[in-house]
Amino acid sequence: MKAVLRFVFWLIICELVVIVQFFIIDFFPYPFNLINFIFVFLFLLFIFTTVVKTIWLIIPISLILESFSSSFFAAGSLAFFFSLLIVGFLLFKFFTSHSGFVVLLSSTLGMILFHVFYFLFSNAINVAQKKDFLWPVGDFFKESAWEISFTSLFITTIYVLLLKFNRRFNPSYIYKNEKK
Amino acid sequence: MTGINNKKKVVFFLSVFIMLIFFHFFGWLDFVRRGLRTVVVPVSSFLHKSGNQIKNAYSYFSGNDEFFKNYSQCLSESQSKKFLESKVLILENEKIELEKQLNFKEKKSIQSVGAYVIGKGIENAEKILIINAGIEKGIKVNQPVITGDGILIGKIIKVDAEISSVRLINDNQSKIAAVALNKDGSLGVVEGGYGLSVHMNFIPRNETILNGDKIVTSGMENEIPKGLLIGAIAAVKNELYQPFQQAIIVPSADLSKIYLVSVLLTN
Repeated sequence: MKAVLRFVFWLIICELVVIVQFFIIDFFPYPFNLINFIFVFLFLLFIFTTVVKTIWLIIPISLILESFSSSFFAAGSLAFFFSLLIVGFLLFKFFTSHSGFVVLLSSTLGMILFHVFYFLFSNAINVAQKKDFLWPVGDFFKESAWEISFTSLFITTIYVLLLKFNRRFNPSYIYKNEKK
Repeated sequence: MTGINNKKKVVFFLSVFIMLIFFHFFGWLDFVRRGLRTVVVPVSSFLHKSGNQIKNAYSYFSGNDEFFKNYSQCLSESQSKKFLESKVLILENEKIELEKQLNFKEKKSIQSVGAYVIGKGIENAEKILIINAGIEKGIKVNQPVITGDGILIGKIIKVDAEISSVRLINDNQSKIAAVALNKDGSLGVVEGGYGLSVHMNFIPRNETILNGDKIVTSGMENEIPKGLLIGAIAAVKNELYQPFQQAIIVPSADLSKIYLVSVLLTN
């Protein structure tokens, strides 16, 4: 019963994340409407919880997003998966300090990797379906640059704010001190 | 030990994921997608409508000078259009007479399906609208989508049971065979540019096109009938070393504020 409730809870969270993304697309002016809130959510969850929990959530989110995208289901979800996996490897093996600067750097790298993988996978599917290979030209780089910079800054800001609450207002520190 | 467990979990996830891709390819995940969409689609439709209303309200209050300038321009254009309407009426009557004399059969009018726009595409690199009409209403891929009286805004690219995706004419992957309403009847291809511009390419260099010339569909594509208005030419690029001319087009419809469309059931 607890597992079922947990499953339903995470499904509702996935739906809410997609709804927030639509809110950003429809209400924010250009270029702020380019923030990729789904990547923000997955990346922050990735840092504060476990790798496995985060990558399982990619499946329901991708299934919902697929109805609102012209690309194939696998392209976006595989891009999320591999970009988060590589960034996770770097965060837990090399950049272990998890300071705000490291989060900014890793989120920027994660977004760049996401775009690269998305471009590769969606074009691989186009080629497999005998469609044209789409080369990125002109404004593609400008729009991607806006998206990467705003998303990374947004992640870093939220991370720094959450860290203050997580450390300062975490009651477990009080209990640990009392036990001593 | 923890590292090995994590690696096993990641490999397990990847295998489950690949299996899901196959299930999705065969359509076995459609009921799951439909279930997940039932919550998201009404909310996205409400957000899209509210977003458009806010943008309209903002532009009403912020652009008063431009509003009055556009208003006076509209007034002068409507006067010249009244004259053109009368000319068109005369030409239509002549056409009917000629067809009768040549025993032409009347063309059946194309059926259309109305739909509301319930959201935009989630990817920023693509300019896509989601409409609340799908296979159930007879919609198929490559059917043209219009707004107003016949202004082409895009084509259907993906169809589900209840919703469809429309690729707008300013999307990078959009290509439409078009003709300019000038004395040469210049043919070309209207292509989008990542939502920021619409160009007409492959216009022969020896043909004269001018700013303000209207661009309509040429009818050379099977599913798109001739005569759907696309836009008007705003600038022309004619360079000596290029084999073709290029024109920048201003679409006749405001592609950022569309909420009601019609899909022409041409195939």
